[in-house]
Amino acid sequence: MADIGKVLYTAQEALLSNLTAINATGSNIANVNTPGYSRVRPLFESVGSKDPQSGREQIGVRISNIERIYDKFLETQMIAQQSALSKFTTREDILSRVEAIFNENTGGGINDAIGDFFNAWGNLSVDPLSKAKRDMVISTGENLSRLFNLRVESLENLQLNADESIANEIATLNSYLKDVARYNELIVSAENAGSTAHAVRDHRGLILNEISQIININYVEKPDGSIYIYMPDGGKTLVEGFNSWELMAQVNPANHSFYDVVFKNDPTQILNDRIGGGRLGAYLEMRDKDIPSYIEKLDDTALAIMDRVNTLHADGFDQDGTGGVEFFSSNPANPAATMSVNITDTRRIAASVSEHADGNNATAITGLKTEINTVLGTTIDGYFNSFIAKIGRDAVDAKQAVIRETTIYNQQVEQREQLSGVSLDEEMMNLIKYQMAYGAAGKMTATVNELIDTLLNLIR
Amino acid sequence: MLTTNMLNIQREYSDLMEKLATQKMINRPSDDPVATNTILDTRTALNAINQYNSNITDAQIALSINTSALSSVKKIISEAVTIAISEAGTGSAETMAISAQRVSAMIDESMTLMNTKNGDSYIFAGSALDTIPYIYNDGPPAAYVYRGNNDQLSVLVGNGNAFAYNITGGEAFGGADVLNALLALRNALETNDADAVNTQIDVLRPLESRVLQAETSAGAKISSLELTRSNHDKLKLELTNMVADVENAQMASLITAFQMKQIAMQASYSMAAKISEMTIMSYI
Repeated sequence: MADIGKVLYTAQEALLSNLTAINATGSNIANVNTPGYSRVRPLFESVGSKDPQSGREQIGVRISNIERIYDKFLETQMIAQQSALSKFTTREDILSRVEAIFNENTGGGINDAIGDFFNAWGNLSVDPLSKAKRDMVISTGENLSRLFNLRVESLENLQLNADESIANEIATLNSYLKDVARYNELIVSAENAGSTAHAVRDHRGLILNEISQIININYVEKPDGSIYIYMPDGGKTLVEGFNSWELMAQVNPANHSFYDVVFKNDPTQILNDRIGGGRLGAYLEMRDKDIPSYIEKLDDTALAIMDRVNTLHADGFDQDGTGGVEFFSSNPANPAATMSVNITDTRRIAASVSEHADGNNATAITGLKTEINTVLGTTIDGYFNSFIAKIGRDAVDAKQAVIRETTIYNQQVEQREQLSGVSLDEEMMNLIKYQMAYGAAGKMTATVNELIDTLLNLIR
Repeated sequence: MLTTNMLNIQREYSDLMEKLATQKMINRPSDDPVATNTILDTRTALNAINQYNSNITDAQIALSINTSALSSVKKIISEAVTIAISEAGTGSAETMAISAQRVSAMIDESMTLMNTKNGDSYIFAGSALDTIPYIYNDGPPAAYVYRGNNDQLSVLVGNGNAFAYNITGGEAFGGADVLNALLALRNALETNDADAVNTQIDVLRPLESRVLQAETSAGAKISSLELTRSNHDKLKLELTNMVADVENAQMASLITAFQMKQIAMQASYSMAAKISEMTIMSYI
């Protein structure tokens, strides 16, 4: 037998369920532009029983769950992709600054200065007594030295910037790690108590995103809802449940007093080599590998010039017939940075091969420009020019890597948007659907009300 | 996806704008590392050629100063020979005294010519550029002395091509031979010694041809340098064209590409506008 009260109860269930669904749709619409938001979907479930023998049929409805639409596997991929992307973006940024330092394409760089210097010797060779031409030899030598000094200084500044960025990134990373541990706690306690923690999960996802931009990580989600974060190589733990381990920037006197990355509670173990991705990875790589290799090339070039010019100059004779001294001086530990002209008096320039003032030593020094240098294996200019091309290649590689990684990442974002993102069209259709169901349930309530009135009028 | 596409097009658009503005395909090493290497190497080569040409000019200036001094000295010697022939034949005590004075003036003039400087350098002194090469030594025996040497001065006029450009006093004037021969002629004239005057004719003639030889040699060096320079100029033109080919933008193709990008950008903008118009809101 049907029971009029039960019909009313079913109508009430329908009203409440559809209202909840409208509420969920409202949340989705409200968060249409929220980054990291995963849309929710109300799951309707029929309740009650149908017993054909007794003829009692009472099937109601309820919202069994508000599901967060989310692909765990895709999220993991995106986290890894973020690390790669932000590493190459940072590399590209630093390399474009390196390129700006070596703006040889427009002229006025070291390539031109090397030419000017040897040309000054060439001019002196035909007029070895000229004070003006002797002055030119010294001033072009000083200009060349200064350019080498400046280039190294600019590269070292980039290294310092990278170093400071490392310290800053570690500070940011530490606070993110703490956040994840706290969110873990919130999620576990909320979900243990039977409620949902969708918003907190979204936030934690965003933080995870930020972390992966700083450093490459592995992470797993435990059944209780908390996530554990590890460093990829060697699996050092960064976050474990409600705990996080802080990293620290520690000065390393053996490496130009740059920072090493260590755990605060284990400062002896240096983690630099374990960090291969994210901005930290890029900064470490540029600071310790790429930029030092550029400085080394500058040192090679400067040393080759200084060695050959000094040797010939010391073998020659100056304007007073005295044996020559070394033309350039530098500190062997960092030759390009400390290169300078050793001579201030133009009469000390050893332009001649004899005690007379011939210009033949100047001619020999000019010839160094086209000499195949035994240390470099090519001419000095050739070596330097191919070094500039190397910087260009590195920058191109980084640019292309950014384009490649961005394409992959965008595809993943697209996928994520399709799955978890909010489509206003879909939400509007749902809204209409739930609204109609709500209206129908309301109509049913009114009908039941009329039925009860009819019943009551019978008794009167 | 739409945004990404739009950003891509915008990046390529600004890339083309830079190329159009600078009219260069390569504005930084990463635009084309291989071409950058070529451009820098070529620029190095061009720079060297310019230096060689400037060396050639300097050497040619020195040589032309040499030539004119040599030609004047040659004229003086030939005049001295004429005087000697005339005095040895028909000279009287009076004419010889006058001629002696003329020869004396010619000696001074020759010495000035032989001590010619190019800038600060004595051009006939060999490598002793800062030493005055010809002086008179009171003696005894009184004579002119050459203090220079026979060293060659060389200048780079090509890769590994050191060119010896100087004419030394030894080569051109047999050291102080010319001056001393003129001195002997003057002394013979002063002492009315016709035989001695006659003897100097035979001394001066070979010296005259020696100076002529030096003058010819200087002239040959000048034209040899000129030849080298014209070779350099040809190479320079080729290298300049090569750099231009690699570095300079082809305006026609750039402008076409630029216009195509512009159309693509307009299309992506209007597509974005269309897409944002399409929403269910318009229908409910």
